Amino acid sequence: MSDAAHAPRAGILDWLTTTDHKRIGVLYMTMAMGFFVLSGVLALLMRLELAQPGLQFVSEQRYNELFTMHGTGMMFFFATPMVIGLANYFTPLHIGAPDVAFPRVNALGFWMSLAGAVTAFAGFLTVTGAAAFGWTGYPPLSNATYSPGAGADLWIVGLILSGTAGILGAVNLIATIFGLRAPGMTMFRMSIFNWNILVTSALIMFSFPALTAALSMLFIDRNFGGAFFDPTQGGDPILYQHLFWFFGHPEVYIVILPFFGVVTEIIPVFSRKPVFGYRGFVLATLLIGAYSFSVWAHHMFATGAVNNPFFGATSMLIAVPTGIKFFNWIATMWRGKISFRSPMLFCMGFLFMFLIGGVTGIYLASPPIDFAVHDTYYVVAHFHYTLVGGTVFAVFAALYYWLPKITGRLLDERLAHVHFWLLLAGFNLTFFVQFQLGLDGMQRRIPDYPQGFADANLLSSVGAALLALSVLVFIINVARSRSRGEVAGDDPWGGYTLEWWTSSPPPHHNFRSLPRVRSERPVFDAKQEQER
Amino acid sequence: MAEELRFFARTALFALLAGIIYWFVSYERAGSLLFAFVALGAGFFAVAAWIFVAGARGTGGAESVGAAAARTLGFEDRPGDEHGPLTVEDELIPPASIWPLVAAAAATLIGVGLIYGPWFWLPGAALAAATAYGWLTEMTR
Repeated sequence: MSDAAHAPRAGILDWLTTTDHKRIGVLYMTMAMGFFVLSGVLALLMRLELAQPGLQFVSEQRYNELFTMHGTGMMFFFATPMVIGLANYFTPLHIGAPDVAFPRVNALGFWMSLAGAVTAFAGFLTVTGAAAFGWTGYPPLSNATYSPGAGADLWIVGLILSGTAGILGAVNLIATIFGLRAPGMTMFRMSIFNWNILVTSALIMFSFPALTAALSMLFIDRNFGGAFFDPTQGGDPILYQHLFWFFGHPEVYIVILPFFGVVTEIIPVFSRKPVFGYRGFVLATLLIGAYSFSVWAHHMFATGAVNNPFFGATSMLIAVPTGIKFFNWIATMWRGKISFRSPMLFCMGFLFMFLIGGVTGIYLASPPIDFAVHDTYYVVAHFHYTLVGGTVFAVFAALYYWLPKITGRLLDERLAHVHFWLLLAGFNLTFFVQFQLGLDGMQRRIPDYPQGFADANLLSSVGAALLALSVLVFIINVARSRSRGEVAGDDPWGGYTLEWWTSSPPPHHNFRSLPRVRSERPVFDAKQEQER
Repeated sequence: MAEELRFFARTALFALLAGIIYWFVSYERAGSLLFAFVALGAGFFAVAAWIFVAGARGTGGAESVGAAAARTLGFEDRPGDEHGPLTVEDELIPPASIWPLVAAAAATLIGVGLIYGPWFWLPGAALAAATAYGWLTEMTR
């Protein structure tokens, strides 16, 4: 095939038929940000309702739909596609490959993912409304008796489609990393980002089938007279929880591990030092990946049907490799020439916010504490510190760091700083008070509450508005950079990994030439060589 | 043993050990079986990778198996991994294709058809058949 046949074009049909990993990466990231905004609007509606006690704007049923689709949207259609989008764009660039191993399958994965998202959200257009049983979909609440209507079925079909897409993406990324590395790019010279993508892909490959199985069984129960989860006919609803959380807890690491990788790429570059403890990072990533399969039932402590000491112990154990990473990040910065450009600033936000999420998670790993705060706002706060404080801060770090490579233009630093401080203030105002609300006994997933919780809830709602405003600043910044952004050049940050060797944006098959790869910092090595 | 292979071998070993411990502390079937599935899945990939690597290097046999087992938990590159033991030599990148989009539409229509009936799954099945033909034809062109 000639080069001309592969040359990138810009029409809509070209985007619909593309098999270029970079374009598919952009499509994934655009989809992810779209559903981030959509799911964020659902969260704002919830916070608007919760700003005062009593029912103001939405019915209880509609509120149930809002939190279900907010959780579903954020987990399945924002965080996971963002991971696969970043991996799609940067994994081949990091290993010096021209594309992914299976480009057509890659495109299929994206379109299935988007179709799944649209299908799940199409529930809002049905007479009975969207799914309204929480993003976990536990039976018996999710069975045909308690959740009748097509909205719930569309949710199931949508998640099966996007889950299958995730598996296709994961297989593709593993094959790419194992099969398409440039000469000299050994496994232990790969970027830490790629190691995290590799482990994440394995997690997807081994955990998503459990979700597909659980959802298929639920669909059969609802529509074809099955009884997998119906105890009156010999079924077991706890089985659903086992299957769901065997997927669900690795899923938490699926949407955080790649961002550990992102942070590990950014911190050394903005500290002007090599990463501290490369092998320690790799080992910690492997351990987190492995342990994440052995902690699923800490979500089920309160069922009384699982071995609490086993899952309490394994859940606490996972803090050790995470601690190794924190130690290494700090050691990387230690005595470095730190520059607080926007990517680094968001990494700092990530470190502090994720730390709070992680530490509160260790408390929750203790069954007696979990019994006390189960299904309260304490869990909501912990979860959001992990996944907003962790994932969302790191997503923005990644976008500020890599958008110049994707678009060829830098984002405005002043707006980025405004974005960061608004996000930090809004996020903490929204969620920190929820720890106290939870400890005071406020249950989650209810639209109304006693007067005693009113002040904290109002603060939380004001925080949510600030958080939304911060995202608006980011959108303005991206829009502004398209026309007025400073031209980035090939390597605006003095980066270490191979994406900074090629042009911004990269040519169709990524590289016109490759430097000799002798370490995990090939571009740094090449530039040192040139200077000598 | 190449890291590509060890990656899956370690995963299989971990899932196997964790599954055994889990079974004896809980006697709970669902979780134990899920551990077993991970062990089997990762083990399958490890064996497949080993066959691929051994085939590519023209090595194999009892000695290699023993050496590989001894190095299962190793944690560094091997000399000679510069080109990657599983490296695909032929960089054939396909051009643009409409079939991934059509295949996704087919899967969606079939899925939604399970809820709403043949008005959806019949066109979905037709698109799936068209995709199978179009995609395979495109691949073999």
